[in-house]
Amino acid sequence: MSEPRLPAARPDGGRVALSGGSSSGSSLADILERVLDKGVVIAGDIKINLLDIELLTIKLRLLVASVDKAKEMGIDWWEHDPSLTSKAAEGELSRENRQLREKVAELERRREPAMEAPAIETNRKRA
Amino acid sequence: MKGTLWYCYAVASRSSPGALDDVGGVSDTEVSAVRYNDLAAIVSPVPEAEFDESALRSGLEDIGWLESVARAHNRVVDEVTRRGTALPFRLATIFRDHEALTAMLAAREAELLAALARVSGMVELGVKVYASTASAPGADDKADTGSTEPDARPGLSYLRRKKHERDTRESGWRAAMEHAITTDEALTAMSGGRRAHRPQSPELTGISEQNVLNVAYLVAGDDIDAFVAAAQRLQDESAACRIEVTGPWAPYSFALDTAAGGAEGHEHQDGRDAVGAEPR
Repeated sequence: MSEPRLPAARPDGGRVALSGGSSSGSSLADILERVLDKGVVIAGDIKINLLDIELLTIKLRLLVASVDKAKEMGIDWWEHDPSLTSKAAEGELSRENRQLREKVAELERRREPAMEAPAIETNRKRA
Repeated sequence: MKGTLWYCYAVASRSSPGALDDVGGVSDTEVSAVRYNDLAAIVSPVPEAEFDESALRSGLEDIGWLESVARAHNRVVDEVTRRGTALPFRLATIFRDHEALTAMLAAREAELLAALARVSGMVELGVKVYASTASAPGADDKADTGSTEPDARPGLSYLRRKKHERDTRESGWRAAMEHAITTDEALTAMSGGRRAHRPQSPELTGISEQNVLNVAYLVAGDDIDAFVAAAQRLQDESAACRIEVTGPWAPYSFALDTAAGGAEGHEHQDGRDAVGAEPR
């Protein structure tokens, strides 16, 4: 599937005007809004589920707001999220995490199960 | 005819369309009219391989294909509307043959004629109101927070800056909303009908300004200039908004009114869809 690319609407300098007396030069968003969501709905011989079409418009909205757009907006957290990239997974942080997790597991092992309730009390006192 | 389906763009009154030889249809097809009593269905023969159910399903997923079909559909509808009155059909309304098409016209004749009469001489104009970004937070808030304590309490100054940004945004958004409502009321009074569309998302349009109002109005052909002039005046009255008028469109949003449009169960509730959600 090709990269979705919707042309931006024409920039206009504060002038409210119609474009050349027809809608043909309109933005794709304006056209899709009408030809997919509006117009006479008649069940032709080829059935496309209306639900499919509604899903499609939602999908379009999501698609265009996808990875590229997010990067453009400065959202790139997944590039550093160890669960999403293998590159980051072997980083310093994850090694430290593993060590900490091991330590916690070891401490929990040493603690008796009966100690759980008092542990909560200790926390509360501290707070 | 094997391998051919009939793509139906619109239905017009019998005398409306005239010759359509010069109009290009979807997938470079010819456009013609199939007549039944006082109705004319505007159609193109399309290859079954491209427009049967499975092909359509994957075609609709392909934005390039979708764009070319949507633009062609609108272009044909535009041409027909220019020559007379037409009711645009939803994209990809397709029939096996002329018999099936004629049967549809026969079954819905009264309803379609009534809808055609209602939009006769009218066009649809789209109006979108955007909250201006002119009043958005700019250099001034860097001056009043950022410079005083650059690193001492970065968390606090960050929160302050965020709060200030949000307050500025919210007051700008509120002013834009108020003017959008004024605009909507004034334009509704000049129109023969009003349908709210969902505000468009910046991600879809590439317009960074917040779309706070997206409405279609049914306007008499003779009133287009007065309507656009009114929109211009309304824009000049407030710096909080930018107003965009699109069209004239065929009356897509008014094709079947509630009086006849029983099949249309998904009409957007006005009000709720008329205004944009408050920005986060």
